[in-house]
Amino acid sequence: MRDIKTQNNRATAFLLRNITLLILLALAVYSILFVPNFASLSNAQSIASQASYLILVAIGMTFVILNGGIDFSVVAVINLGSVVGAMIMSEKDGLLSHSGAGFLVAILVMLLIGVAIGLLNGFSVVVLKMPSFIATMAVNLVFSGLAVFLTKSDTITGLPKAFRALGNSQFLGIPVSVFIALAAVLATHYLLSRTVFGRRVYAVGTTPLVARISGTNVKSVILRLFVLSGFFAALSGIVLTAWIGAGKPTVADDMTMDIVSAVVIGGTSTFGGSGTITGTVVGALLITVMSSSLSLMGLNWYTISTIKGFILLAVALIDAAKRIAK
Amino acid sequence: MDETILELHGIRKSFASVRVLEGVDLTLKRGKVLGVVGENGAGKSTLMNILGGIIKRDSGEMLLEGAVYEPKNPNDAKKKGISFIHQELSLFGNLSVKENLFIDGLPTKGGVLVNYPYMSKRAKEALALLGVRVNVDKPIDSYSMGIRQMVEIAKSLLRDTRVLIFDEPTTSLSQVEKEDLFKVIGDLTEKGVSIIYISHVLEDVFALCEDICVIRDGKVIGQKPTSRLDKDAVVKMMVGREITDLYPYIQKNPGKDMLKIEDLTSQGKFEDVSFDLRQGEIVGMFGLVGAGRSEVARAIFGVDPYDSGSVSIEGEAIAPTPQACIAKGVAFVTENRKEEGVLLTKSIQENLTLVDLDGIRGKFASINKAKERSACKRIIDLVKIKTYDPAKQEARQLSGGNQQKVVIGKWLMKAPRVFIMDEPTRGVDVGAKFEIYNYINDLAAQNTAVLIISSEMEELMGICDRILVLSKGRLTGEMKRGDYTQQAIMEYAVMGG
Repeated sequence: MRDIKTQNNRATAFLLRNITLLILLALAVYSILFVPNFASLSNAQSIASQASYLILVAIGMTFVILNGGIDFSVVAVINLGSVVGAMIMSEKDGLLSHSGAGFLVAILVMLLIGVAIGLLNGFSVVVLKMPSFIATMAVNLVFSGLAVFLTKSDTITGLPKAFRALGNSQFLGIPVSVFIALAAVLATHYLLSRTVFGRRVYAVGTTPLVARISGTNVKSVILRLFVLSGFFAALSGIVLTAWIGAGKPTVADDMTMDIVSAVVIGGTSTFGGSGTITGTVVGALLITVMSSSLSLMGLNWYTISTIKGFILLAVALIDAAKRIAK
Repeated sequence: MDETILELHGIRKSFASVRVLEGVDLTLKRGKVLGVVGENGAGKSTLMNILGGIIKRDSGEMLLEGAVYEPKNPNDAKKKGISFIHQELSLFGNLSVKENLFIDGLPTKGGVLVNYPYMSKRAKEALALLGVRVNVDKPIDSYSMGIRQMVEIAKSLLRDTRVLIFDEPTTSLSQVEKEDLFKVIGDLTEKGVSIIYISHVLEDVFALCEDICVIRDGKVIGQKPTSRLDKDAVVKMMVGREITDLYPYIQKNPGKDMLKIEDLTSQGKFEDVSFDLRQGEIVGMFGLVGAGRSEVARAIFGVDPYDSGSVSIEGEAIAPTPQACIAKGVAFVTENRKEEGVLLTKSIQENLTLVDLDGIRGKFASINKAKERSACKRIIDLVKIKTYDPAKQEARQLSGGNQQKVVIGKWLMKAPRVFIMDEPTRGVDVGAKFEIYNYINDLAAQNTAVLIISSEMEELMGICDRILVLSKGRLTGEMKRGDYTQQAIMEYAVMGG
């Protein structure tokens, strides 16, 4: 009885992860055949770029959700990074507008913002013992507000060509951002699945007390998860800002649902302890392809959001059902 | 008049290709208590789950009061009068006692509103029948395990229960609560309720049951009246071989002081506890429930904070964190393996490697899979964990005894200098217990200092060189081997605070 239930759980989990991939492939095939303008080079490149920045931020989010938490502040990291980075490197009145390497400093600062906000989140959760839900939401409000304040809601244009190349240029027809995302996927996949740290992450996400008694510094692990989330959100923000070619304080405002959906649809349980980077990648691709396909079919943004919402609900129900069956 | 109320004939059950029950026959007489004993994995739980309607049998028949009994689901079984009190009680902690009693069917006024006054009245009556008088409006988790179990029993009596099945009912009970339970069982049988009592505690089974049924490897080895059996005979039937000593003891020469605890105090939990452990010594810590033993162990290991006192290894003080203790070679098996010892949803390998992850490091902070496999194989063979694939099988699929071996095993990856074990053989069957005692002895032979906290006096008297007794948070006594008497130990254990 216990054995059959756990066999079924594993079969279900296995099926679910493969179902996502199968649905992705089915959707892609359907779209290529029946959706007007889907099967074009420019659309493929567009999907590739969008998937890249979604994958980057979703990778970071995966680490936090693996611990049973959530990070709402990724939006602020991207928004604030976009704005501050632009303020530094803009060729119009940026702080380093004269310097050819201004954009390198900007990139560094954007990454630092991600790490700093990650540390703040980690501190709030681990030391102040706030639930991540509340802590990251508060941090998000503060720093997104800061981004708007710094630009008085304007966008900052005039970004250097070298920087914009990160979003616009291609190598062998493939957008550069894809390579950045690919590198991130390989690095984090290795980190989670092959390293000692990865094992600790899974242990802490499964039963933190067991991990602690067994000698893992649980607080340090959780802190690092939030830093990772902030870092990859910042990386995503760099790619996104390069793509739109401007510093915009609201650029990531509607992304939260897509990010969380990508992670959860990709098979990471919101209860913590199980999930993979490759799953998140498949989830992010599914969302991006779906958005593109539905919008080319003529559906408006609200309808598409509603559909995505239903899918997220269905996946969350399956996630909960799996847990109850345990 | 010994009338049979329940008969099982030739019950067979397989899961996939694994045969779990191979033709079980069992007879329960009305108003009597039948003890069911067997090692973990023998098939007791599967058999009871079939009886309770949780799973279906493959073949064989069940007769309840002469009529064919085939429950479609647990509710069906309950309606037919068979109730199951599981080891993990099925109560809702934050709901009140009366709500829990009626959770299967809340009485209503006019079919819509819940009839709370009626519930209060009936709840008090039902509990009074068992000699329990509590405030039925308070949430059930404000009461001790003993009371909760009584509520569970009362719940089953509210329906017309004819057969009551107990699965390991005394694991979380104090001595007093255990005696209350036995009294209630006596009253129930007088009223005609028939009882199946599954337990590892053979003393209790012998005290309570008129007949004992021994199951091994999915078969009933024998069902005999208790009067015609003794403990050794039952153990032999359970294990299939002679166990000459239940508690193996080896002579040792304890070496230097390893662990020194001085004046350890934690407000409200324990006070001024001081003792030493020497290399190669096995020291037992006995006490009643609530004496503070686990609290002391957890404070030593840094799981919970303490207020004053010191903990030192070979003269050097250690910081109260698990990491510091592990670095100094201290190992700690807690009393709650499901929540603190084992990662239930992770593989056996992942569990075994958790303490000594550095030991399986490869290049670039990665994990060397080959090292992992061989290290785990070594421990699995050493501690005799039964698993078909340690890399794939999840810890929750193992029996209690095997899970405990996984917990102990992970601490053996790096040979510990001090090993603290809290109730290491709780919920573990006879065969596995013996194996655990054997490697506790092996550890001592390798100069590890061992501290065993246990509520089983016999166990401690059997394998320890010294026994410390805690009572109400204070160390009240210490006895050397050769001076042990049950009376003296118990006197220390009940001494005032």
